Amino acid sequence: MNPEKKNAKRIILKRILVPLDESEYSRAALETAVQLASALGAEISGLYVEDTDLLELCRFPFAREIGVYRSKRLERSELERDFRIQAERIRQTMAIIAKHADIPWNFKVRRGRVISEILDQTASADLTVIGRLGRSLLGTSAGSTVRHLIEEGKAMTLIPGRGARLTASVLTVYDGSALSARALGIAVDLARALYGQTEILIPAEEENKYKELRDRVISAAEEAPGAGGMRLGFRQIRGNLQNAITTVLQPEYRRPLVLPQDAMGDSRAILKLINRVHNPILLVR
Amino acid sequence: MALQRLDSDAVYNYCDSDSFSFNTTADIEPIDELSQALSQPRAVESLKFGTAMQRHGFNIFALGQPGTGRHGMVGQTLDKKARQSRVPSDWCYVNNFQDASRPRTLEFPAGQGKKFAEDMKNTVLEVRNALKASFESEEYQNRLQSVQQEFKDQQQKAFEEVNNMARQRGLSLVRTPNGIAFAPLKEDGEVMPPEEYQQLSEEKRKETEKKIEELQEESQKVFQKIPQWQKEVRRKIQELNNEVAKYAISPLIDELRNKYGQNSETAEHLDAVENDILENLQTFMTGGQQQAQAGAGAPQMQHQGFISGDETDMDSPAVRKYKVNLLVDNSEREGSPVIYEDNPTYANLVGKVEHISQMGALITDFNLIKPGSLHRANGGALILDARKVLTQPGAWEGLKRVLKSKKVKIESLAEMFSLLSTVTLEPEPIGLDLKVVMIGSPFIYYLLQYYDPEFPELFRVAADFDVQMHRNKESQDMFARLLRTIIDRENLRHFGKDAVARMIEQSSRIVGDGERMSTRIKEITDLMVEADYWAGENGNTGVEAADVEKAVEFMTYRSDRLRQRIQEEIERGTLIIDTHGEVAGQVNGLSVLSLGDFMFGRPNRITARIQMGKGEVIDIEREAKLSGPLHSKGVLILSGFLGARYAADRPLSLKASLVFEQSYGGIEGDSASSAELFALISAIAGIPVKQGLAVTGSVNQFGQIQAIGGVNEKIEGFFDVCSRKGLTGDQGVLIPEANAKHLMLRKDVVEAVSREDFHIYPIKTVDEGIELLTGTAAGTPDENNNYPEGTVNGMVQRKLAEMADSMKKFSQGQEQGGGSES
Repeated sequence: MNPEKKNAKRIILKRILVPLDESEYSRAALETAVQLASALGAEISGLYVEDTDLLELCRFPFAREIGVYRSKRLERSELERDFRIQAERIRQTMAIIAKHADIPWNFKVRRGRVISEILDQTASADLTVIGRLGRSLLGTSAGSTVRHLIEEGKAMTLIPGRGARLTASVLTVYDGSALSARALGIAVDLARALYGQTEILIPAEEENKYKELRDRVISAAEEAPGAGGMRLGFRQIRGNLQNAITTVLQPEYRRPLVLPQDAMGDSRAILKLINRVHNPILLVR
Repeated sequence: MALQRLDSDAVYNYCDSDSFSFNTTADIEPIDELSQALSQPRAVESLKFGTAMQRHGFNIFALGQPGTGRHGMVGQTLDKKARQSRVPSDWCYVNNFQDASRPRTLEFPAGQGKKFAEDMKNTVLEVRNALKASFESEEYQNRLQSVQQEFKDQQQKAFEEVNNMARQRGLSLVRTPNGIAFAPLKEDGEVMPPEEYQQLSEEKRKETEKKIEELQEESQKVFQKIPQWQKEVRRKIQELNNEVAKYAISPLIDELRNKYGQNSETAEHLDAVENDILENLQTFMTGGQQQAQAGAGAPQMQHQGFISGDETDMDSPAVRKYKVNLLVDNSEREGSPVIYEDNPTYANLVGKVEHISQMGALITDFNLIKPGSLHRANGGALILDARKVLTQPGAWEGLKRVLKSKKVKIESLAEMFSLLSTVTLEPEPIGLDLKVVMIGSPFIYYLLQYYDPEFPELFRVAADFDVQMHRNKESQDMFARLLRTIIDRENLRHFGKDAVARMIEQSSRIVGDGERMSTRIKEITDLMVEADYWAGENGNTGVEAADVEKAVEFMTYRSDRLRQRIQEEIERGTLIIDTHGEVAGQVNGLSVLSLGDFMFGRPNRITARIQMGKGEVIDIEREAKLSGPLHSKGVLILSGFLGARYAADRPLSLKASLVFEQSYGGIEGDSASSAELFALISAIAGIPVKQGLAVTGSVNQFGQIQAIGGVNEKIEGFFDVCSRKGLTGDQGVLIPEANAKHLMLRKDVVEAVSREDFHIYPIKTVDEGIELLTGTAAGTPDENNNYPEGTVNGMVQRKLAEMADSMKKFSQGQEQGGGSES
């Protein structure tokens, strides 16, 4: 039995949704999801969406697909076949990885608009793990699907970083809000599941404020069940939080950040952070 | 003529146990070397010469009968030399990175080969770890990402241009499974549904389609640049990888260079290993396995796979080629090797290339090269059994080829005969410097000398082992120590001094010579083991003479069924042999039958009949093609003897026939020629021969009796018949005087001789024999060569004269009768 599963005490993540395409980011998302599922004893659900926007495109008389090696008329039947092939390939990969990790899994193929289908499926998942970029050829900044999920999603979302595997040292932000307390709880549980420690960034310009928030965390931790297994570290943040987070995260690109959604202000700030650092970011709502 | 018979002391050369200075073998020291006890000076000196002579072709052939200590003495001589010799080199096979089908050899001082193999293994594992660490490092990842980012930036820039162009034209760029496509946009920036598009004016639609066509052309141009960019990025990544890998590998390989690089071939190999790892980083890092998780999100750059693969198995396809196949390991050896190859098949001699089955195909590599005994013995000596080498297909020819070329080339028999189509190797030959000692029978040695012109060139030293040695006080003492050695080796009870004496006597009996002892250790050992058994059965703590005697008797008993049967049939009268009375023209001859290692004698009735004729002595055995050439020669000598002695001045007008009665299996040897002569003389003279006597010995044209073989068995054969029919005290055997020294008769025969119930008569001439057989003087010729009347020779001479006269008259009558007719 995976020892990480034994430590899964408090985070209740039964189902992790992973929208998949054939991009490298998608693969990283899958591997991260598998690691989490293995550590927390969850099931992963793969989702492949046959994009109806593309199917619609076939109806234009001028629709052509331009590839590296050839350019051809975009036919619906061929496109549907390509979808099936792609879905099957993804399913097989998922089967190999999930079986290797010995975790329960399932795989769904849906047809519709990509973002709508993903948002629809996130409703029944505890966590959505999604590649920071899709198959977009345009830019390195977060893809449109991620953008939509951050802006419109209701569930927790994890955007993996450059390295698929998470390190055991988890970073979070605690500002005293209820959401940041929830994020802290999740960060601690995640660190324990990964046999690691939690470093807590406390945004406070004043020393007293910092100490107050830190003491609150410590006393809460002491009262928490299984407190003996916790290892906590604190860091006071003055000034721009995004810059501070970036500075702390940059030396270790696999280190996960558990971020309360409201910590950065709005979703644009979150997207900006996602584009600045290569670390996995778990957005807590 | 006064003839002496032998007394009991003369028919058995006793060993006086009182002459020993010990009571049991526990009191004496075992011998250090077989050559001390088995006096084989010629063989030993030849062996010493052969082992010391370090020139091409001076290999040794130890010839002799099995069990004469050839293996032991050869082994001990070679071991002695080997202890004083230096330990030879270690040999390794390594991959040839230029041509994997021709593995290379590396030679190391003894013990270094093993270390090199271990160091190489460890280094390869360390290299892999170092590479993993390097490729997992932040620095590498950053640099890799930088290179990849450059490509992505290029790609992105190009597509942004396309995208901008699309936007400017009111179009959208859409990603499809295999590329991109363009779609018209609505005013709100969303992709226009087809229905809406159809509602546009034709002019608008045409305009849109034209824009899309332009964009498609533009984007096609961009896409065409991608392969070139990819190629460039691959090159850059390769450069980066090489740089990082070289930095990680070089210090590790340098360690090996410092340690083993004095040998230029090893240094070359290390260079080749380093280059090969650099050229095959991907497979090296992944152990030659496909990435298990390739598939979803497959990276555009395969080079990213460096950090996967936990292979540490040295047998993985990608790593096997860096292994070292330690073919000959002399790390534990002291002195040079002496190898005895018990099963000298071609492959066991020259080594082989094994194959393993993979996906139904037979494949191989240098790691599957297995050494032969020639490799293991290189620098020392190899002992082989000649018969085994000659009977194994290809082994003899292979051995000669190796000895001639002084190189061992591993090549299978199937390759030699071009029968193999499987992919195999041509390993670099290994230089050879060794002494081969073949052990075989004299028959094989002379056969090879005669028929194989290469043999004398390659085996110039013959070490000839005798089956017997002199018996004297000194050799008897050493023999006792040899027994002690065998006792220790076989874990037997100690032998008392009487038992030792009995062993020495039996050793003489084995070689059929009272003045010699057997050198056949195997037979001696067998007898000792059986004597030990009987000692146990008899409840003795040590082996006594009686136990040895019992062992001898029981060994004989196990083999003598046929002898017993013959004796019984003689007793029952089926085979007719008279042991008393007198009969003219009938003599008891003696023959020996050999059944494997068991020999026994039996009497044969030899009869002669005469008639007038033209001087012919007809050997019926020869006429019936039942005699061998030696027997025929013996009979032909008789004619010469008869003519010269009795009919020198007149024709020998005799026709005589000689036969071995009741002989059905053929006769060989001339040991019965004296008996045949006596039968002939008896028949001519008409004088009866005593049937209580038997005769053995060959005769020459001057009437001298010559030595024969198997004298003990022959005497015992006749004694057994007499004994069964009843000893009369007049019975005995005439033997050539020259054979008297060979007598080592069975105990019961010796006792009968002692009691004067049975007699052994050594004779030198025909005349001595004829007097004994007939009881009548032989007679000596006068100055006219006439023998006196009343003597046997006189009777023969007169009878032959009468026959000559009768023949003359008969011939004259024939001539006259013939004239009247004409």
